[in-house]
Amino acid sequence: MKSASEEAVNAAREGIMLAKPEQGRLAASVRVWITNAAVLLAFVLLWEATAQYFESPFIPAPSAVLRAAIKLLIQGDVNGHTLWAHTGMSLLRVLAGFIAAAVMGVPLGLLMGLYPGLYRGTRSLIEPLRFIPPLAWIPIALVTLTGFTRYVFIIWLGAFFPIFVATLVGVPRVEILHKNVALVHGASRSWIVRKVVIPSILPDILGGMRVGLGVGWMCIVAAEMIGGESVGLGKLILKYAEMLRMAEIVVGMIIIGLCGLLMNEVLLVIERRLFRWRWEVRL
Amino acid sequence: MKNKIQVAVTQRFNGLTVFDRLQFSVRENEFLCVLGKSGCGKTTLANLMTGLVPATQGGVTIDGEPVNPKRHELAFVFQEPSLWPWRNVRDNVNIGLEIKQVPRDEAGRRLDEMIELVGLQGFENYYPYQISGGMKQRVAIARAFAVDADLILMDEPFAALDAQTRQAMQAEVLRIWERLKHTVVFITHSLEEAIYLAERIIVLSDKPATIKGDFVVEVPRPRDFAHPGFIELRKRLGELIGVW
Ligand SMILES: Nc1ncnc2c1ncn2[C@@H]1O[C@H](COP(=O)(O)OP(=O)(O)OP(=O)(O)O)[C@@H](O)[C@H]1O
Ligand SMILES: [Mg+2]
Repeated sequence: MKSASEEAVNAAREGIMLAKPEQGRLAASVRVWITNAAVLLAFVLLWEATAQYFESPFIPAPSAVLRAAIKLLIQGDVNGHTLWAHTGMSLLRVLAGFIAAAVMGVPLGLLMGLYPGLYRGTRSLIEPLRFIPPLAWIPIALVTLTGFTRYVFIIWLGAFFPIFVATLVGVPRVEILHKNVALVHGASRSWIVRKVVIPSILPDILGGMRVGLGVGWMCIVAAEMIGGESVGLGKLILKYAEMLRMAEIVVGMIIIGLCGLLMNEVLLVIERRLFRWRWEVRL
Repeated sequence: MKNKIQVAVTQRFNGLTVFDRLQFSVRENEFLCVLGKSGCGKTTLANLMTGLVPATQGGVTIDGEPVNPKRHELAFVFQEPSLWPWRNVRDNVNIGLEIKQVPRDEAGRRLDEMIELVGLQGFENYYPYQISGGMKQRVAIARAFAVDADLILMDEPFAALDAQTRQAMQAEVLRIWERLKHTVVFITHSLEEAIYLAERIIVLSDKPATIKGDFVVEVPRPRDFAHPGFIELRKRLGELIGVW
């Protein structure tokens, strides 16, 4: 008997070794890096060619954008704010709005998921709200809010619903069998929420957060359009738009894209750490 | 041995009568197999016996009290894989102990014992996605036997395994049961599995299911498929049931 189970143990160990070919994985990730670098290079070349072909001040060449970026970094913009200041300020605003959205969206989604009556009873209010673009809120934000809260409000509007909805729809999808395991052993409802429901929907929540973060960044230009201050990546773009200086505008666009990418990567790393069990089975 | 569990239920699902006054009892520390065709209500019976589903009429009592997962110590090895994917092997075995708030050092001792008993030493930190189907059912069995259960229900736990693994697992369950002695209700649709494992076999009829037969298995252990008693009982059960 012992030997039979030992055999099974060994067989399973081998199975795991086969399933994790570390070297193959490394080679694959190198290939992904190379492909991405090649795609980026091709894009820049195409961009350069387009710029040279048109020779228009409205289509800045990559080199012009790079020069503008360096100048913004060192000397700053027309108001003397450097690119660092713009980036730092926008990051802070997006993070604040995003955190506010997560702090409210997750518990509210969980609550309404656990008590569907609450959701059904408030549906007629919540669902229409979800479809109003954050941009449409700008006039109201202008007259009711001041300073930092304006930015946070607009970004919160964009980030809240993806997080809230992901949490809300995750709850009823928790495996009944997983709940039954706990029920058979006599678990209380609150124990099941803590130990079954939350671990089950955590991947959904993180997914919702990544979407919410993206929407939050998309709202930054709108948010900074109404904020009075002259710092922020969105503001940078707006300022240079008035002067029709495309190179600086493109710098702002690229930095927004990079910030979004970086924050997304951070969330992905957290996701991979927390949900190794789930990540590894993905296709 | 005294009767530990009394079942007397009628169960309907919007018009479909699954059990019509189904009655039987299980003795303390008995290994009872329930045989029945697919769809006759075996899983429903298991759900009733563990209090997961309330009976339409009647009910199940353990030691004279209506079954209640909070008061009784119950365990269930489900037909489908039921490990929590976010917990490793050891923490999966621990679920019942954790819910019943067994003190830490005692829980630790029992976990070690159970993991050794099912031969999963060295795999404590593996996650369900890293182990085979057979090993997953071993974990589920360890989880069930880890608590000092009044009743352990096993609902076709080996149906998804290949023949060889299945045999090894049957022998393993018997070994664990002989060592720890709990009341086990093992549901299956395999005659051989029932005869190999059970002290007593009850046979469910088609819906609405009632007890069609009740057999004490007297074949000596360890049981051999070629033993005349085994063959004889297999024949009698086969005739009773007809073609599966
Ligand atoms: N919640 C439910 N609502 C309606 N009908 C149900 C429900 N649960 C079970 N049934 C019905 O009860 C009958 C018995 O189902 P059950 O799952 O208990 O069968 P089973 O004997 O376990 O079958 P198998 O061997 O295939 O697992 C089936 O006809 C099924 O459709
Ligand atoms: Mg079933």
